[in-house]
Amino acid sequence: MSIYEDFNAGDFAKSTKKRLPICFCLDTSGSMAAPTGTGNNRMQELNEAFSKFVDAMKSNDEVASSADIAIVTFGGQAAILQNFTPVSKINTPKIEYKERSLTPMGEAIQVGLKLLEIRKNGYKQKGMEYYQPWLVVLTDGEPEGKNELEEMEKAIAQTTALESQNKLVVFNIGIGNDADLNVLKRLSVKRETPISVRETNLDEVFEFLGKSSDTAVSGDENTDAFYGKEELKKGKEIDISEWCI
Amino acid sequence: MKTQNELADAAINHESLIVIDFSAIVAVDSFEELNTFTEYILQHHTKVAVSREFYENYEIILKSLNNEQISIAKMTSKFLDLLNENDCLLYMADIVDSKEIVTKLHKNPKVFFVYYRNSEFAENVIGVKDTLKAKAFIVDENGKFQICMDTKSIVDLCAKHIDSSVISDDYFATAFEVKEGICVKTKEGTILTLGKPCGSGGEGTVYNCEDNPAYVVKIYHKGQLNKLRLKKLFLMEKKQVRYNGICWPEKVIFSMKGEPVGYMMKKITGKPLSSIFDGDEVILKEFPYWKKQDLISLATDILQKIQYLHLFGILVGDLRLKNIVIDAQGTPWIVDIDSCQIDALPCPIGYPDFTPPELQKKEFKQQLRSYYNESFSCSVLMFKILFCGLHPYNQKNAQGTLEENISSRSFPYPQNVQGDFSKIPWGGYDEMWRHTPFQIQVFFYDIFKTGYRYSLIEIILMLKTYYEFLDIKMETIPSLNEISFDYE
Repeated sequence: MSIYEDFNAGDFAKSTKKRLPICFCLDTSGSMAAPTGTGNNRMQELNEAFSKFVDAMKSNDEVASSADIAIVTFGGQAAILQNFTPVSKINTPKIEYKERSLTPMGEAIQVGLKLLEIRKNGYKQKGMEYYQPWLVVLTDGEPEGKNELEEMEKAIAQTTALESQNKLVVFNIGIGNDADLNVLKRLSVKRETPISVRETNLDEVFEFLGKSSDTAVSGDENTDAFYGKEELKKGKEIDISEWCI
Repeated sequence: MKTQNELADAAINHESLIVIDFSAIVAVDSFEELNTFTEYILQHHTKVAVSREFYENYEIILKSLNNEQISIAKMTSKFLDLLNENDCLLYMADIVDSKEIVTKLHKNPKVFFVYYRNSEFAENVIGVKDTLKAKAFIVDENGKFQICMDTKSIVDLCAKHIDSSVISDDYFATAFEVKEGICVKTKEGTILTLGKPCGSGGEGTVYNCEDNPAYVVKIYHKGQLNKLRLKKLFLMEKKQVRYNGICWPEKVIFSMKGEPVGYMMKKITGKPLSSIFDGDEVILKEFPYWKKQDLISLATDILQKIQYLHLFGILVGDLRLKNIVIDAQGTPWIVDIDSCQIDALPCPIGYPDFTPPELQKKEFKQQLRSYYNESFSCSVLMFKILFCGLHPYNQKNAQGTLEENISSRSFPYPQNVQGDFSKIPWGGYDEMWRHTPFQIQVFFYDIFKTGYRYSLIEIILMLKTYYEFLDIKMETIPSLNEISFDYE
């Protein structure tokens, strides 16, 4: 039996809003059990930050009625923790690490992309519009597992192809000092360096994601902001005195 | 106003026909100007013609809930009464809008058009300039009449050119540091204390106004205040736009040192249409007693406010559901309007979903929008409100993006009930289309499939017809007035 569920049109009732599908690929390998020095381990920090993020999305009317979230985890094996669900209906699931497990990041990303593909086809069949889908990859390590190098190369080929056709926005995030930023970097052709964050500052990353989702649903098609490319001021400062009173 | 002699020089006599557009009434400096004009007309027994649009605009002004505006409307009404008593008034009941008047009368050299320089009327006159024989009294930005006796002077005065001095990336330097509790002032010297911030975006932060809780002050972020914004702010302050339901930048706000830093506007609290218009269930959760007629009234109300702005030479430009907020009394407010197009100052942004085919993928900074362009955006707004938030070009298994479907006019609704319903989005919208009166279906089909462009006044009149139709039909077919239907 397939691990993938069919698109559930009933999720949307008669909603007319443009959708923003966001697929998270979260690292749940053994290393996430590492303590952070605050009394929590990495996994607890992640759960707290993620839960705050979902609450913030729910309290933003525009985002709550547009965003759909799915979660794929990779600890030992790639698994779907949460199938695509509108943010307004989601019960934030508890993310748990698998002790002494490997990090099959490549497979997880491929599962995530497949979920996004099913979702997009569902929207199309129903006649719903959607924004560029998001893939958020979060890890504190490096790809590990059976044939993992090969799987990771497949994942990179897929994300970069979609991203360069403006069919995907990639958030590649490394937690702590052991995250393999080189391989994360290769997931995106648009982001100059992966987002790197200390395990105690995960909130910041999720705040950035929240803010970006707000920008996305306000209909601003300029995705540069998601890649940290703030528009540079092209003009120069000029004197205001002739306008003063 | 021109003296009696000047009017005589213009050869206005009992054989002339003067056509007055409401934009002239709104733009004219004072009523004394109009009085000289009236006296002359009465003396020479000249006929004055107005169209149906004139009365629609009159009705719109009466709805402003603003005493000054209402007094303008009442004086206008007196003016018409006076003409009527002296047998000088000609009501062209069969002519709806300015496009039609101009098309029918512009070749007649005995006709004098009276309108505001940046109005929709002016746009229509420019559209027929090659065959134009009529003359014009044009009200300029300062509220003064300019007599134009030939086509060249009309074109020179009315052809719209973007003010290119404002197209620059340069921004004003200011030492102003904004924070809660700081004082700012208006140009008259009224001092305001900024209270707690109540909203923030990419352009600036909005602060409560401690001295006047009915108002808020928006202060631009550093680097956001450029020539276009500043020139527009001063022009907005000059234009006396006062309407219950338009959140207008009423006063430019200065730092205590005298640098302009932002503007003052009414404080509006409510929900944006974008979070209410998400299918009938969400609408009914917010407004449980709403029927189709309430949606029609809402659309009419918003479009009348846009028409009011048009009279002043103002185009909304960046129209979107998020910029319309419904307050606790159920009044829709047009908000975030500081980006609008006024006279020769462009609106530099736009939302693709509301952009007409001819402007898709164009750079808004570099060009002025026309009333013709904006009537498309208004049609999209009308459709979205009547169809609970659905965009007219949303469709099953779409071949291209929404923007592409707007450009190619790929409209998924059939013109008649025998047509193809299979592309209409899931969720009962096929039934909603089936239950839309034939006249309205044809109207939408004309706009979104054939590409015909109705003027804003025609759209407003069509909504009124729809409303009245339901009044008549409701008793026999009550379901027609439901917002939606069960579909499973």
